[in-house]
Amino acid sequence: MRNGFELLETRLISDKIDLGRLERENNIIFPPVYRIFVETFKTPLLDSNKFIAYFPDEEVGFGNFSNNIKRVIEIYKSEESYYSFSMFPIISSGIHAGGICVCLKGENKDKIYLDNEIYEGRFQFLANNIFEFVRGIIEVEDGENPSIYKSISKL
Amino acid sequence: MQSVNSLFKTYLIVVLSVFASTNLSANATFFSIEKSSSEIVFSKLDDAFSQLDKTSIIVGVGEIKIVFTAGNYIKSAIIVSDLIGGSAGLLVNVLNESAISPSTRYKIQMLSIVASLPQLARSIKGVDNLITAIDNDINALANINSKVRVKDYFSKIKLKVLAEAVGKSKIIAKLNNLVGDFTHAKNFVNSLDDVADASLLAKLDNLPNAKLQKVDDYYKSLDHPSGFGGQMDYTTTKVIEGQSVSMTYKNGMPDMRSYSPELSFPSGTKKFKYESTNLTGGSADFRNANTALANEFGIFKTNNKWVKNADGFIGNGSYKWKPGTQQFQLKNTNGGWDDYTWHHFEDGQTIFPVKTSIHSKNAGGFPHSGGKSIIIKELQGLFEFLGF
Repeated sequence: MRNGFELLETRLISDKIDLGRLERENNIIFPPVYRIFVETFKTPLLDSNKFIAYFPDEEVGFGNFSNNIKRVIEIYKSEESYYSFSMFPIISSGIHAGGICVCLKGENKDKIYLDNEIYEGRFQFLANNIFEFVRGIIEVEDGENPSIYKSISKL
Repeated sequence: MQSVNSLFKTYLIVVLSVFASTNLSANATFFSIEKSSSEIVFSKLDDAFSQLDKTSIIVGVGEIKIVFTAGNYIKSAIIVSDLIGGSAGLLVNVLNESAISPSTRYKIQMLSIVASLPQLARSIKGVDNLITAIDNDINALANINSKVRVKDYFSKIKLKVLAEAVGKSKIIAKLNNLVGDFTHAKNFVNSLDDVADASLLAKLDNLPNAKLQKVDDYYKSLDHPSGFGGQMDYTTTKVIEGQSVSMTYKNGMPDMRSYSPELSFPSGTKKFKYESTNLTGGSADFRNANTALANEFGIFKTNNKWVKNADGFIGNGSYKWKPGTQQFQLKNTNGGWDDYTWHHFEDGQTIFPVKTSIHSKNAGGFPHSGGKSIIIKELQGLFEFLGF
């Protein structure tokens, strides 16, 4: 069983991503903590045979990191319900079609939200930044009974 | 002027001809009606209004009460066609040549003629045989869009009858009299059609004020494609995986029924849906629907555990699911695997699979609100699932 950053792989120099160029080309500025995360870790790496969950809230329906940042930028720029709230979708959710987002601007910059259509106010706060969020993901041996892992995720 | 008896004889000949030409029971029995047509129609309307949303519809014809099962396309047609005074041409108009066989078209035309004669009572057995035959024909239609169109047609006809009951102006007046801002609910109600949306208007009319507030809340936070804020009925197109995909929104919600895949089960090929009056909008729905789907594929737990392969999946050659996850996968024509997720339909009681790339906004699909929000706002049943 692995959890948190054990599930991620460090990005090699040869895989360096030029976020600055993407920002200039698309008129987007990534928030500082998320920027460090993307430059440091390679995603997705969660192609494990195991089921990955996010605790303490399994209703988040954690899916996987979006694996193509250029494609995500296209989606972000084309959807009013993302760009008008400065919510950049970075992780899919099996339950919630809007997925998990990082806020790009304002006082909520870098905070992680679930685009939750059944949540009052829509964007449900999950974590203060992507590093805090990753600490909540855990590899579950038996996806049918993920609740037994809840205590581990809080360590 | 022809007498009633003379008219009856004429109709009798027509109907007997119809029955003869469609090989129906020779034991057909007909009853003359003593009431005037308007009285009969009024009587039927009265009965039908009280029964339309229940499982059966009771229609009075003279001294006879005929019970029809709602949801049966043609039985509904008989009643409703009768109520609105004959609609022989309408049904055929929705069925183009490619959608239905000449034989079925003929049967429907004949049935419409029968149904348009409120002066006559009909042999229940004889009509029933014809009804069953046509129902079977429609169910056998290979073109899923035709099936949907036929069902929609009957739904609209039914609603046309109901239209007499509640107009949207009545709902707007009700909202105007409530304390608070109901701008979004009013925008929604204003988009409705008194005739086509009569059933929905009737339901809105019956909602308590607290629920009307929830309708306003729902439309206030409604997700939508870019450029369609505040709009209810429209079609938009996106390029998804290199293909142009159109999605029609009705009442602000996408109709994803046509994007639900036909699945090959041991019992036959069909679209799959999971229905429950206890949907939560959360992970339990996905777990239950995925379990039901696996079971439909003939895959069951052994000793209360899924028997997984080395990759952690269950499935067969064209379907696989990793228990615990919300999505499942189907093999595509290129031999790869596509992700599918569960779409909550806005009735709040039905979920069915749709390709994730079409369904989910974060995967480039169509933004939407729908069934999950309806469930949380306890508005289940306001919108109806019309079938695939």
